[in-house]
Formats: sequence, structure tokens, C-alpha cells
Amino acid sequence: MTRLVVRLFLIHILGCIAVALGMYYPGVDLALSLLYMGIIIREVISSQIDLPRRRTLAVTIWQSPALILSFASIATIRGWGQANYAFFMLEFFYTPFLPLLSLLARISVANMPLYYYVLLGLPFLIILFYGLLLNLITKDLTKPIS
Amino acid sequence: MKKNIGDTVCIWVFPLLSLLLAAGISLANPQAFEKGSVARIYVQNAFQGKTGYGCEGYYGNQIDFSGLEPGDLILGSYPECSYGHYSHAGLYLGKGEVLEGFVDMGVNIQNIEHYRQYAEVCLLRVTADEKTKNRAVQYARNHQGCIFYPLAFKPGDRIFNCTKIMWQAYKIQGLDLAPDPNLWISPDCFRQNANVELIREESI
Repeated sequence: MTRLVVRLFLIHILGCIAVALGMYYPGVDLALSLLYMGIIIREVISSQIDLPRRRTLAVTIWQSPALILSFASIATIRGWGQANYAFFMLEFFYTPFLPLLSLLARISVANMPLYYYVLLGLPFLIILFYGLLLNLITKDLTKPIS
Repeated sequence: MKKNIGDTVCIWVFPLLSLLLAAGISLANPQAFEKGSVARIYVQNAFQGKTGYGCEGYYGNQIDFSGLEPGDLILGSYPECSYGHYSHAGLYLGKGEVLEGFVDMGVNIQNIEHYRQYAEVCLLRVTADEKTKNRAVQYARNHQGCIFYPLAFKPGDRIFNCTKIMWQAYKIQGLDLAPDPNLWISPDCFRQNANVELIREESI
């Protein structure tokens, strides 16, 4: 599991750099974003770990910085004012997704743009996505051959 | 064997692409890291411990906002800003509203009074006809809700920072308010541009 977590973090950080640079060439950033998602999905699916639960745990560990930043972005703690910085760092963490998020409809809810809410919810969505995906794959593999 | 090759490719694909992209950007912008460039100023300030937009707070600037017209630019400055003298920029839309960009609110419209929080405020008038300014204002309005990303490069119209949206709004109309060969646009670029004139500025 450690190997999967380390590889996810490594690919993620390298992906952040590539996508950030790719934003210089409109269109290239979108392609890199999709490539990033494909590589991460491949990484999780092809991992040697047998139990889908452990793979989902690895994904959760990989998303833990974003989980913390997501909570910190909405938590109102007096005297610190961390919310703005936390969201700033959360956005940087999710650089690989930003080109795709930029295609979202430009609507606002309670004076905040849609992408704000999506970024806050992204760690949960990613964990849920991989949890469901791995469950689905496991079910398919254990289906009896008729 | 196949999986090992796949694992290696997955690790190395982004570093190789990053190198290619960095080379392409450097070749297209050979002067982007020269003395006085935004990138160089940021790196130099970072070595001195200055990062970000400076010492945020409420400084209570008492600048007079009367006489502003749609299309005017408003710059705000916090001390110790890492990318120049001014930290933030907004585009005046009229009726006390300013269009600007923030990391959590994206490109959005705010009340001009919040500029009183800055230690220094500067009001600039773009030397262009009313039609150009109105078109620039409309372009900016149409991009409300767009993503704010601090490192938004000049090219592209999906991802903005606070300066790029107003630079782009005027560039589309044929007026380049930041013609310097910089990868990013700092608020100082507007202050130094020959196509703007100073209305007034005030500091605490």
C-alpha cells in the first residue's frame, strides 16, 4: 500500500507542475488534465493490492492533505484567518483538475462560484469515485462464468 | 515486464512533458526572466522572505472615489507584496461596483468600498474612447465566475488572475496595457503603462 500511496503523490506533484506549465498553451492544459486522470486511474486499478478496501485507503491517504485543506477552508477559527490560505493551497493541490473545472458553467451560489464548491467537495468525490470503481471491478472479477 | 514499463512511463511522462513545456515557454519568452521582470522580482523577493500579496489587513485608506468612470482601474497595495508595489487590481464598472478576482470567489463583482482596506490605493484612467472602455467592461462582466489562479499566464481565456481579466478585456479591444515580455501581469504593469493616466493615489 505504501508503494501505491508514494506513487500517487509523486504522479500528482509531477502532474501539478506539468498542468501548471500547460496552462500557457490553451488546450494543452485540458489534454494534460485528462492524461493525469487516466494515469491516476491506471495506477489505482493496476495496483498489486488485492483488497479494494486497502486501495481505497491508499486513495484516502493520498487525498488527506486536500481533506484537511477542505475542512480548514470552511472552518471559522477565530484569530487565525486560515480559511483564505487553506483554499489557496487547496486550489494549488488540485491544479491538475483546474483546466477541466474551467469548463464548468459560470454560475454562482450564495455569491461563490460553482468551482469553489466543487473544489471543496473534490477530495470526497475522488475517494467515493475510486471506492465505487474498485468495488465494481472486484464484483466483475468475482462474477461466476456462466 | 509490460507492467514495469507502464509503471516507468507513468512516472516519467509528466517530468518529460514539463521539460518540453518549460523549454517552449522559455524560447517563446526569452526576456521573461530578465532584470525587472515579474518572475525575477517574485524570485528575488521570495529569497528575502516575502511571499504572496503582502501583509493583509484593514488599513483604512481614505481615498476619494468620486469621479470614477466605467473602465477605470483601481490598484491596491499591501506592504511587503512579493510581486511588486501593488498587490491587487480591479476594473471599475460604475455605480460603486468593481470587477476583480480572488482565489475563492473567482472573477466577481465587489463594492468599491472594500479598497479602503489597502494601505495604498491608486486610481488610473485608461486613455481610450468611451466605446472601447464600455466594451472592455462588458467583456469583463461576461467572464464573471471564471476560475482565479494566481499563476494564470497571459494566453488563454478560461483561467484568470486579478490583473489578467482587465488586461484581456482591453487587449481584445486593441489596447495592450501590459506589452512587456512578461509571463504574468502584475498590477505595477498598469501603473507604469503609457496608456493610463493617474487620477489620484493615497497611502496611509
